[in-house]
Amino acid sequence: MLIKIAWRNIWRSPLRSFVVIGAVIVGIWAIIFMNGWTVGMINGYIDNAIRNEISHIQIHHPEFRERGEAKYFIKDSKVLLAKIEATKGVKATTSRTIVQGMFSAAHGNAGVNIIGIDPAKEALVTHLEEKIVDGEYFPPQKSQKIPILISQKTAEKLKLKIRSNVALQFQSMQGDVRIGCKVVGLFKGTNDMMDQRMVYVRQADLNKAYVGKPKTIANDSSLTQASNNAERYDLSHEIAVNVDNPQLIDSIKAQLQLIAAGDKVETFREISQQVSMMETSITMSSIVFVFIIMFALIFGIINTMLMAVLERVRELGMLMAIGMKRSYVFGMIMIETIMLSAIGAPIGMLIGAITIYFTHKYGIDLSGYGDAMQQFGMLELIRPEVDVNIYWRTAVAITITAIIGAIYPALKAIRLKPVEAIRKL
Amino acid sequence: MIFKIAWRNIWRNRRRTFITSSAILFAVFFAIFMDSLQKGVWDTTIDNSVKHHVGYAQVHKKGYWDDQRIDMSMDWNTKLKEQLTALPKIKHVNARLEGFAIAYNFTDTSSVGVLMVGIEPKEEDSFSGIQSKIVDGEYIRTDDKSILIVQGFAEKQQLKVGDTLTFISQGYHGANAAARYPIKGIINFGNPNFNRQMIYLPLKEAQWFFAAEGLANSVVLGLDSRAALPQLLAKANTELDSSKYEIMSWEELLPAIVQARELKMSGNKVILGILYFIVGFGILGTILMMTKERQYEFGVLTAIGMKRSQLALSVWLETIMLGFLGTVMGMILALPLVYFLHYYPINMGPSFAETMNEFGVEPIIPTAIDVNIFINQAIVVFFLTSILALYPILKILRLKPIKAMRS
Repeated sequence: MLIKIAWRNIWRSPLRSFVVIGAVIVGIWAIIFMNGWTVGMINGYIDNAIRNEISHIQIHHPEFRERGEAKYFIKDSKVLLAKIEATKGVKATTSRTIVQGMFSAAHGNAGVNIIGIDPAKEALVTHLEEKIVDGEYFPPQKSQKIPILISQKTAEKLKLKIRSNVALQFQSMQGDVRIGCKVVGLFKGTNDMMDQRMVYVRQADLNKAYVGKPKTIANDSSLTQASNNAERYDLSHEIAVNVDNPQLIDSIKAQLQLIAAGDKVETFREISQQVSMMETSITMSSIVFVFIIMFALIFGIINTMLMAVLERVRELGMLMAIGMKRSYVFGMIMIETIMLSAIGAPIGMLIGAITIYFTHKYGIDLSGYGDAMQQFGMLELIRPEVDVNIYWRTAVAITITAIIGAIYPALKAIRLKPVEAIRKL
Repeated sequence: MIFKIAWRNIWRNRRRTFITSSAILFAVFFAIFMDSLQKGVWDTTIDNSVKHHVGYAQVHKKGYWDDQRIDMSMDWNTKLKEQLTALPKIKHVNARLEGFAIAYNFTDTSSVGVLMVGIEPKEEDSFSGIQSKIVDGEYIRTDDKSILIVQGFAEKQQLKVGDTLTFISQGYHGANAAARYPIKGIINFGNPNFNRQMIYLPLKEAQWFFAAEGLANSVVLGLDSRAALPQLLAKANTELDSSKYEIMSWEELLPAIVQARELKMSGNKVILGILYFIVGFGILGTILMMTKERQYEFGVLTAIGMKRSQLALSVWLETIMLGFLGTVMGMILALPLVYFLHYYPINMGPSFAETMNEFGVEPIIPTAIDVNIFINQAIVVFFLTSILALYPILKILRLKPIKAMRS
């Protein structure tokens, strides 16, 4: 009976119902989108840092990151790499040799990290190939000279071009060595300062130069010596791993730690304090912002309910005058509110889901700030996304808010004396 | 006359007045609160990145910033110092002489590139409080021939107080620079970026090392607050010879931070937009209900001969007055909260403290106090209200008295 009256009341006054339903829809939509936006911002930042620089997981000799010296390398890295590739959940992986040295050209020198990479695999992990702005990414070799990639900024500063001859000097296992290289490509990464401190050569070339000439062993067949050489040259300082699903990063890390035995496996959060700092600071401010939005919403809904109930004072007074119990009137208002929320909630969730779906698919373009994004390591498109649980929680929270919002004005309404209520304009 | 009617209407139904203006009040209140928090977050970020090293402004020899070599040094004399100290609102003036060098550690025969920073120990400390960041050993004095190293570097090179390091570099105009210094203290800046490769030594000693007697390559200007910066820069630009010196603000010294701020601000605008949408809907809701509630009244008034345009104007005026009332109340209500949270900022607690402390930052979110925030947000909400107030006008202009009175 009460339900029937409530249901009729809703349709009797479509404008009032629309206002309440609208408040619920807007509330749910706003909270869902706000969550999606925040997650999108954080993911955009992390994804970019991972994609361009650090990857999801890195493996080093336990001493390497602290001391940075080339003698702390991972042995038999090819075997390890093959095992990692076979691990479930690993998307791509590559190994690098990193030696500190001096880069010298006709117009000056610079201290650099010489990074030896496997061109094909590296491209899958850090997309280095896409950062080439001039020349080529390790083209088929024509001369005896070792091909090298340098940053555009370095080339500018030291007046170098494609095909310029340069030299690298560093401490090898056999002492100081100097190798001649030919510039084949210029790259431009996200940060000029960082770029200038790096040059890329092929890992095979660098390992050969770093390990040095094998001592010839008498009476050894050339075949076994060749295999010895391959073993001798098989070292890396860093193995970078990208995973399919970043949510599973910790369990994959644990698996890799078993495979890597004595070497140290770390996730991007452990490797880059900068990234975890950014993640923390965005999360921190977002939590506060979401809270403010929630509060604004609660006040908005309570206000709307207040208005919606008090507008009916005359009508409610009439109901009480003709003998409807006060508790019934109160119950009727509550049931109406629940019904209105029940109509608004799914619509709000649906609109929220549609908004998230499309903004995620196409991204929200902040490319007007492209330079800053790059400097700061952000993707140009923010792609909002929301955990499924957020939908339910938001819908429930907003519905409860609406019901609570109706309690006060309903109590106020039924406390009125019927005669006074009817007289009210 | 119409104004009088509107004014009386407002006080005739206090409940309605209260509800409508409180919707506007909360709109202004939350908009101000949100905006001042968003700005506050960035103010803290900027202050944190500026206060340790770069400062709010720097003076160099013209062209130094683009070509940071030891040869681009300028005379650091009492005349220049007095000129700078006389600038308005200035708090600190401290000179530095910086240059790259290679450090040799003979205990394990390794070498590493470092940035040697010659500082005026007393002035530098009053600027950045560097002395309080010493974790081992002691701070350097003006005439010391010893150095301070950063903790990250000490750990990486396994150095401790009392060890010596040998430095080799190129001095002023190609002079040879080589010297050996004992480590007097170890500092921890918190920020890992600063903890890597900095070596501090007294300015006098750095001038001797780089064969740059009486020279410095940057002078840091410290201020009480960022707000005083434009005034100081304007004065400095007229006082100093612009063909000899370049005066740069932190915005020019740290362009990445400026851009990052703009980026974050554009993200914040989306959030602010969502907030406007919510509060706007709240205001719309109350206005819709108000119009509906007063159908009967409107009907009677038109029936007894009030012109629709007059009625509409009176209702619009009412809403505008309510808007004004709500906006002012909202500003008054937001003021103590913004002030309070500026001096006692929101602390996000231990779950965030760990990461933030690694950077020497506390996990706090203070509000920014800025009159413009109050004014701008009040204007936005007031504007929003006056647009939403058009709804009852449209409704009244199309009003059919008989039907309205029957509802």
